[in-house]
Amino acid sequence: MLRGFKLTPTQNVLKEKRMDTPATYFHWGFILISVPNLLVIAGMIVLFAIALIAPFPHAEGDDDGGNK
Amino acid sequence: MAVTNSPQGADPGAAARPESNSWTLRLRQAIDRHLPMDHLLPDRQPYYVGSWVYVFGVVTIAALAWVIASGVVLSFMGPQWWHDSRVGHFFNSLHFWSVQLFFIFMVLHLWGQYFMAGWRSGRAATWMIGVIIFGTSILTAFTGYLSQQNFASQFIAINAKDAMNGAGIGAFFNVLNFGQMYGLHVMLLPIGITILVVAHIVMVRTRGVVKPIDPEGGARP
Repeated sequence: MLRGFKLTPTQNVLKEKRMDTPATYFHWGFILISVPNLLVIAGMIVLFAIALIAPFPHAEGDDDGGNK
Repeated sequence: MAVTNSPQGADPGAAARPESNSWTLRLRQAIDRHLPMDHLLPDRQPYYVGSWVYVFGVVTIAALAWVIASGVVLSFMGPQWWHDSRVGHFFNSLHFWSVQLFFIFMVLHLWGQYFMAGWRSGRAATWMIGVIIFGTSILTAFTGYLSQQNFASQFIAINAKDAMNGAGIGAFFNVLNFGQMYGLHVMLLPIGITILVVAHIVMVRTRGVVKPIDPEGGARP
């Protein structure tokens, strides 16, 4: 783990195997966010990057499609 | 409204008759002028729409359809059903996860439109309606958490009341009033979001998708 980053486990989720236990939090300076929320945001960024890069099938059409 | 005795499809004097000034005719002409069907239901798109970024908006609409469909079932069957039966659990989860996808793809759509400056060329109203949809959706989700009828909703309501009172809106938006929160969640706010989404889509289809920003500087005309 990088220096300065701190994970604050409020309960050992893996050991308890319960979904209603408090989440583990990621704490870096003034940033405090639960790991599940952090994973969702990271996944959204990855999905956005893939959407920009991945080729679109049958990408063809008018020059401007009649757009104003 | 002008009344004619001629059967439909047989009006030989139509060309010679002075144009009617009825509101139905003016409304029809306005719809023909501003909402042409080839723009509302196009069969071709501009070349720059060939990107997955443009799919985020329609996936958001698909998620909204699942949210509304599962919400109708939940509101019909009631809290005991969605808490105590296996099928109720399934529809409760369907509602929850479709809301998660709705927000995720709405934010991805927002990112895409932000970076392509989707408000250009007379599309500011479309952008602002999107902003209002985003804010209304957050309020709808909040009232949904308050409508769960479990300990979590009670916990949220008890903790939220002080913030609402501190903001000065607790008198007419009382998070401890389940009937008010449930009514807002299942009736007024979904109707508002649906109307705004329809307006948003019609405005997008009327003007078309915004053109890409010219890499050499400045927006394309």
